Amino acid sequence: MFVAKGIGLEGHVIVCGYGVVGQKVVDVLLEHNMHFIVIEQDPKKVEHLRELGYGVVEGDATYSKVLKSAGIENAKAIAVVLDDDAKNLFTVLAAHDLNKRLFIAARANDEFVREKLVEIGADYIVMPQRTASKEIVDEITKTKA
Amino acid sequence: MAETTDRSSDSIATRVILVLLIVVSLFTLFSIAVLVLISHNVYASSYYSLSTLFDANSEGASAFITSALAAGPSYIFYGFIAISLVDGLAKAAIIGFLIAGFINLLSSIDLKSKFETITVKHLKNHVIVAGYSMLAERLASDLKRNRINFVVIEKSQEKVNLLKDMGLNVIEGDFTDKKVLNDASIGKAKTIVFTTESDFVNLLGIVTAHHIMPELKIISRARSESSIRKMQRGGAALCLVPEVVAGIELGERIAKL
Repeated sequence: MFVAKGIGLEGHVIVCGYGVVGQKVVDVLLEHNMHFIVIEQDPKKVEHLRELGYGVVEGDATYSKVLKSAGIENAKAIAVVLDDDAKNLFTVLAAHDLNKRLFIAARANDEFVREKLVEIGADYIVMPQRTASKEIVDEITKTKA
Repeated sequence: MAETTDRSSDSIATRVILVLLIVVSLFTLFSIAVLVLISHNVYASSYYSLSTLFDANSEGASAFITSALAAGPSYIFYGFIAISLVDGLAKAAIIGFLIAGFINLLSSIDLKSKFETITVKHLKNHVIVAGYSMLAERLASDLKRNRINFVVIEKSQEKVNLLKDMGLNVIEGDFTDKKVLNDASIGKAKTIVFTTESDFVNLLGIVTAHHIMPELKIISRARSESSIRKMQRGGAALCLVPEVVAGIELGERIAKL
């Protein structure tokens, strides 16, 4: 089910960054039996992922070369969930250039970064603080009723 | 903020006093000089000029002037001007002192912060946001939009000033301190939300708040999923890791493709 290299894969999902958000994305994808490949810079995490048997590309996701070796031309979607807003922007830009049909989902911390991401081709954006805040407000208003 | 306003009104008051003192002493000297010219008596001139300053012995002063005028009638005009000027200025100085003192008194009361503590004390069924992090920033605007009353507790003075400028209810202090929580009227609060980036600090806050008021609803941000269980044992009703929530949301969206 899991392929070590992206080349040859088709219709798979690329997950950029295996942080807290990336791990959860991978969990959900596993649940849905979807093919995916992770791009990660940290050698320790890469090794851990290899031990788990997941497809991994070691490198910086902001480089087109790295994205290509993850098979971006044939991918269905990409989840750009690096910690750094600027890096996310770069990656989305590169990904959009390489594959115009790609579904791009990205993470943003700042409101203005969100707008920028949409401008440069991201299709879906999550903002951790915003989602969490919404849940908290829902919880607060729930007790009111 | 409060400190800077205090300082500026302070400097205005001292400036008013200084200018008045200089003007009054200059005119007193002028008056002495004129009287010396009339009477050629330095001691008497100084005595009457200074006593006019404190509004005493003015009959003696006018008698002195009358007697001095006999010596040289050509100075009559200047003599009267000098005396009345000193008299008027002395009164102006006294009024100035009073006004300056009043300004000082007003600024030391710092009405604004008094008013703020009163509003916080009267909050009821409100939400306490403990710590002003990125999550709290978002939460504050969401709460505002939902018209839910809330008060923020924040340690850093810089952030507190910023929040005050934004017109939010803020309490400066450490929320792991019972006294600070009482200042935020925790007894009448509906919910408390811990939002700092440190699981340890949040847990400490949870335990403190739960101890003061066990029936209070406690919500907390967590950084790692392993902290959630500890926080729940400490009394938190809802703990969430924003990154995990976002990751699941994003994963589900892609899975729908």
